[in-house]
Amino acid sequence: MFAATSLTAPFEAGEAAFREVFPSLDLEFQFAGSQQLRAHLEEGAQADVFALADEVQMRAAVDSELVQSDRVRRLASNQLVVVLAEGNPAGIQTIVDLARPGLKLALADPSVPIGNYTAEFLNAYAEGNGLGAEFAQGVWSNAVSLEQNVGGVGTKVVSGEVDAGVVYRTDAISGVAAGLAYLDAPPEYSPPIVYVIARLRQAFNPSGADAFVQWILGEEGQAVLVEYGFLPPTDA
Amino acid sequence: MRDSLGSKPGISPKGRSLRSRWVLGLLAAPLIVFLLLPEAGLIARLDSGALTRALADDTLHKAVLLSLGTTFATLTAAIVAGTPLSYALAHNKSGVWRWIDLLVDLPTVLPPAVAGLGLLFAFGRRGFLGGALSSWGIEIAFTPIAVVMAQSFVAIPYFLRTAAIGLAAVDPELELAASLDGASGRQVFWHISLPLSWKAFAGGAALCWARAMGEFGATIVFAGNFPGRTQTMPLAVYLGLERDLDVATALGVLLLVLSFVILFLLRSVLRERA
Repeated sequence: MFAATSLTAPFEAGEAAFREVFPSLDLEFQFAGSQQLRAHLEEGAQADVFALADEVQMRAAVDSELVQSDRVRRLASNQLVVVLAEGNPAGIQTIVDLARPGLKLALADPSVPIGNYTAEFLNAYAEGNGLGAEFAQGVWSNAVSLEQNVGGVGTKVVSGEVDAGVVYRTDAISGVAAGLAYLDAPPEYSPPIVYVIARLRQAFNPSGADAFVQWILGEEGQAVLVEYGFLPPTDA
Repeated sequence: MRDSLGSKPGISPKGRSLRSRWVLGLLAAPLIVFLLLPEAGLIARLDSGALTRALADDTLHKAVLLSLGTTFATLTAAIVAGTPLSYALAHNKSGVWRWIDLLVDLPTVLPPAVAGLGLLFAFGRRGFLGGALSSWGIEIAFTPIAVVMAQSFVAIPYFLRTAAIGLAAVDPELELAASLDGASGRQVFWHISLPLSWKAFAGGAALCWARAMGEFGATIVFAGNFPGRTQTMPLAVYLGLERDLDVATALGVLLLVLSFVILFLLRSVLRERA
């Protein structure tokens, strides 16, 4: 099973519950960034199920015939939060503070999904609040590192080496940054973050793959996802 | 010694020439193929359009310069700080030195990302040394200095080990004879020990440089990833995987070619000196 890094905790936690229902199915996970997983699959890596944090990547997987388009399901949704280093050393109170000079931020590179969402959010926030382009520029210029995945952002905030970082809500509730204070990104400026799941065309075990997809979309699977900070899937 | 070797029947140079050379070649071939096929794969996949795009990319130029600058800083640190330590390791085999000898190898077995965490916990602004530095306004994490430190931590042990083995192989009687003839410790080192172990030093330096050039895990954790500041070539390649596989491949091939040229030059210069 190839899954986005941000699905690590719920999928691993869900494994036990899933195997109570399907004792004969053994789950093996490979977690990585969505694009990297797709690249691996295109290079011939073998998997049964593909779960991504990004609809664009899934569309690309459909285009390269890894996935049949009618097999794609919406799994869950997520939101952005600004997670603060322990004790909030920089005294960040609102989103606007992120542009304050001298702050140290860990952000994700805009070429990876979380970084792209961060960029969209900052732009929408600036526009919605009449802050102008300087706001987003100010925030990006406070970045001391452009991380390649959300785990990198979280680790740097948790270690206290930076003052704050933008991560998914799930990271702040159950993931790498659990236990730290966070500011919600106002939903009206947050880009929709949709998780999708699909059985791969080349699945070794198609019925096993379907069983997992059905289970995770069902009541029990969804409860696990919510426990880890995910929100129910939004409608298209 | 010499007599007993030379007079052994059946292994005269002529007798083992052709046949055993074939056997040896066959035995060696699988590993040669295994070690070279991935490089061939990268080159075979190279897309000329992607190469042009990669070469025109400003982040690539920054990454190449940063990689060259930081790896040579690491190499300098290895030679300047590593030579005395490798000499000490080669000449002290008892007591606390046995432990030091063991401990300096530790960075080579640590997973690089864990090495990066260790560096962060020591030199980061909340680290036990970095905290003090930070209060003086010195911040190391996320700077090019952090890149050099990450590289040094994982790569210098290779220099130490190789140089120490070379120094330990120098006949102690030669060193003793020189000092009995009135040479100072420094003279013994510069005129006896170093010339005789030159090849090991050179090999250690090349190994250290190559390891530093490919360093990824410790760098991304301790120094982060920022173009022009801490994004070395391996980091740029890794991020390229998220962005454009063809450009990442082109970057990888460039890294390969660059490393090959530098190692080749290093080898030829050193062979002349040896």
